[in-house]
Amino acid sequence: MRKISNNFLSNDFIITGLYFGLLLISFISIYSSQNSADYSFFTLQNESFKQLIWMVVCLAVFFAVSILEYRFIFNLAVPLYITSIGLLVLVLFVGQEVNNHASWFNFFGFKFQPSEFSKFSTALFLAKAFDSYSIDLRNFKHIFLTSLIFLLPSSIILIQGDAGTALVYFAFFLVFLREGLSLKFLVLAFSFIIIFVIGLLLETYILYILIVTIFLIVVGLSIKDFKKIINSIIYLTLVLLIVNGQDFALNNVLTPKQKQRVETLINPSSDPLGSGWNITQSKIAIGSGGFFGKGFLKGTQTGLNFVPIQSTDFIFSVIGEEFGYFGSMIFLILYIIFLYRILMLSENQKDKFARVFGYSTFSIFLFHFTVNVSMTLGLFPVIGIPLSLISYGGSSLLSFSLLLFVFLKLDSVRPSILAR
Amino acid sequence: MSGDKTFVFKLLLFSIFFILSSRLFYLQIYEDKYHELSENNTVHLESVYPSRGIITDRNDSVIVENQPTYDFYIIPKQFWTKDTSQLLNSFSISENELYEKFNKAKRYSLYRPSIFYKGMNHSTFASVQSKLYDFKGIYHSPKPTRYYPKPILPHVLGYVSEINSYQLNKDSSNYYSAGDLVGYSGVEQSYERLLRGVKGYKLKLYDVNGVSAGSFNDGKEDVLVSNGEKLKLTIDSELQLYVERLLNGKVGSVVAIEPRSGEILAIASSPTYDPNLLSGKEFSKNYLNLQTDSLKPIYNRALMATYPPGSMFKLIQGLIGLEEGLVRYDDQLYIDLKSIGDLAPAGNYDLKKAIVKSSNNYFFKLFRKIINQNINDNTFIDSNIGLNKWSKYVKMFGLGSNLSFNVSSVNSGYIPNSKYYDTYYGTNRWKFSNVYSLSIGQGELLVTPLQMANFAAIMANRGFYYNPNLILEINGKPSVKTPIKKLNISRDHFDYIVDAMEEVVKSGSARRAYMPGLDICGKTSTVQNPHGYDHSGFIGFAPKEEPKIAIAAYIENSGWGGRAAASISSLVAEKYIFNDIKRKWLEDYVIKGEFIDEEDKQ
Repeated sequence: MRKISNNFLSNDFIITGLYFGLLLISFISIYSSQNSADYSFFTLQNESFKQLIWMVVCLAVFFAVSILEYRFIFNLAVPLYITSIGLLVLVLFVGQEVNNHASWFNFFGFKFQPSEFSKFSTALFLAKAFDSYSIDLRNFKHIFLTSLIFLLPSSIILIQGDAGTALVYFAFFLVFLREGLSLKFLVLAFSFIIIFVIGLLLETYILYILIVTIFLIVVGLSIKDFKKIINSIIYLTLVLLIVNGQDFALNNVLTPKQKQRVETLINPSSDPLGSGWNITQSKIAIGSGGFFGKGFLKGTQTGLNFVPIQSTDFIFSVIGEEFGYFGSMIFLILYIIFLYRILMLSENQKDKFARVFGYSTFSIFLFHFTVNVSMTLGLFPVIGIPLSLISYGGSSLLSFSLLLFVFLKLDSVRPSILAR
Repeated sequence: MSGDKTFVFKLLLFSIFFILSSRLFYLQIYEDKYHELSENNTVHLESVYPSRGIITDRNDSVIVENQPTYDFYIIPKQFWTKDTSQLLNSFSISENELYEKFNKAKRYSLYRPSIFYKGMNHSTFASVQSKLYDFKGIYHSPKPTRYYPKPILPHVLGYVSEINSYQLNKDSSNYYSAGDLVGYSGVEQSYERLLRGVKGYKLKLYDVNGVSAGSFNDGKEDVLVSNGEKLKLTIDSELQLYVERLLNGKVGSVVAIEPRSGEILAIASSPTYDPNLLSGKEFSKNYLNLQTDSLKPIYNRALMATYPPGSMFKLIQGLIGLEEGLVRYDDQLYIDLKSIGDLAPAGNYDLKKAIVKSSNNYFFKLFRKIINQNINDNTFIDSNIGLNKWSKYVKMFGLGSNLSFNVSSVNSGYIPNSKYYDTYYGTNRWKFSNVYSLSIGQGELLVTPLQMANFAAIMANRGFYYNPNLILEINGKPSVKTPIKKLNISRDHFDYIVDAMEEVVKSGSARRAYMPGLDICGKTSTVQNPHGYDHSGFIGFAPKEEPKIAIAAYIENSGWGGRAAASISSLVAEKYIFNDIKRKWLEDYVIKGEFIDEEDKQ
């Protein structure tokens, strides 16, 4: 009963505060990454100035969203989803190519990426779907049909050539877990990822021996449980498919560039000036930061452009180099608190629409944060997705802000829903 | 229930935090290689090259200096010119070459400078300098190169070139890096440490494109460069130039020494070459040409070539005979021509006359007295004792020794002692009859022109010498003198022999060297040479009293010592003492260089 009014003051203070804190960190980092450039601050060539304009835009959106009606948002879900799918298809034909991704609209110098926006619309539509239909996630048909909501934009984005962003949509999988999908699927998914990685590291025959040994042990332990044996056989088949499909995936599905990225993650020194460059330089930048860092604007690695695309994908290397372990840890802790707060607020929603939307927001932020920072630290292949709220990029900032603002809006009206 | 529902997600958050923060800890705290990697990435050590010390002669006339040659660099990204043909003309390259160079540079880097043209000399640079502004993206940097205003003394100076990989590996001080210039042979090598100076270092920041972004830490950690030191040689470059001119077209060498100090005034080996050939752009080509030349112009005959001393050695035999008391000034000895081939007539000889007439048979007899002094009844043992005594005397004259010469390698020549013949014939199986050719400076004796010039200085000094030296001053400070070396032979004996040397020039075999108004003392050698015409040799000094210059000359395959070698030596003395040549006819004779008569050739 604490929040009644319909304005931004009723938003959650912790998240709002952390949001602006993260924007400040973002600005500082982008400013530092642009420091070596020749152009002055107040030009559109300067990414930090451009981003500042986007932040002001976000502030306007923040106020705009806060006066929206809950019902309005709810009803917007379907038209927005359809629009965004339309835009994704349209951009395939009229879009501008950036980094080999045909995924950009260009409005007067400000580029706009519909794949960023469609994360928001997908989240909204997913929330509405869960709210409107009694989806039973123990039913395979239900799982499949619901998955289509995010698989559709994801596949169009994959066609655009942006595998990284396409992968982000699989974060909605976490929402499914909350909404009743068996944990087995999570375990299964993890096991497949682990097998895939092991498959890259080990000789194939060693892997076969390992798999068959484990299979025999499992079958031996569950000799009287027929169902378990059937499951094991299905699992074994899948595993063998992954192992054998690995080379096929590496050579046919992934582009040579992506394949190289996977390979360089495993051995960055294999191509130190090629695709290993990003990871190596980023690790050097962060590693050379030491405990307290080199100080604001003093980063030599990032300041002298050794880390490529540092204002977008490798923005964390600026933080790591200039503010060191100390600053990086503060950043990590702030971000984790931010994510934790979204998680807790989402769970507190009594309304399924708000809860699913909240979990979607959480999942997408979590995915971007984890994968991007891991990528910068050399723990994950460079798949080219931004660090949510921190990386340079207008449409990305706007779509993340929109996700968050709408969630905050839904959260703030929670008491009135109860009252309804 | 909400706790249960969020548990997986909380666990996920916690594990992510744990993994990321441990990775950060590993990269930033635990692993310390990244700091260094980052510095290497951005901070480059840039060498600042010192200017190599210049070399002057004893009169401060510059022999070796540095002149900039220009290397040109291209930065493909910035390259642009509105007039390609002008560019092609300026560097005298073809259009194809230009594209080749440009593409090669582009392959290396679009932003970093690549070498475009190497070693443009100063005068060409001056002519293209004004056009350089039209060529965008082409930069030049001056590189000091050795320049020799007077193309003299190449053998002694040595040369400077890029360090080779062998030297680079050998460099235990880790001073040099690839591409550095280093002195090879001669003064450039021996005084490398002084001449080169000390490289300085600048720490510079570079961005990823290799574009300089200023100095690191405001240059506080830079090391200042210290330039090379100036060397003043003992050489008189005017004299040197003259000597080289006289030797032109001949094979041989001349060494001139200031007797009272051991300072080398001129040291020339012929054939020679212009030291500028081994400086700069065409080094490799020219070096190969010189090296494959059959006349071996790189070979420093003055220090490395060994010859039997020939008749000039009779002076030493005479001194030994006098000091040993085996002969006295006025002793007359009847000489027939039975023992050894001779050009001197038979008759009564004293030592002086024997020297003036260069009587082989006289010195055959004298040497037999030296070898067989009847100390032991056994001829073989007696010969052994005598030869060692003789060998000791000979070595007092600096023969068989490198004379502690510290510039480049020198040949020590060879003075045999009993051990040599013991090995050759067997112990006590040789006697005078086996070694008699030593009496007239032939046989196993081998000396270098430098040693003979030093011998001439000993005669001029009447019994002492300083090791011949080449360095007068280092950076204005006189170089350390070696101690005086005195021979254990009475000065009177020297005076006696010097009188004979004077007579050799006045009326003996070296009459061509005679010059009215200058008392030149000398002795010729006509060194038998199994491979061709005799070598022409001469040692001498002038003037007789308070000698200013001592000279040794060896001209290969030029016949009598009284012709080529004596004439050249005499002209060198005249040049040095009067700084002018009055005897044009003699000069013409030497320059013409036909020392062997038609009859001799048959």
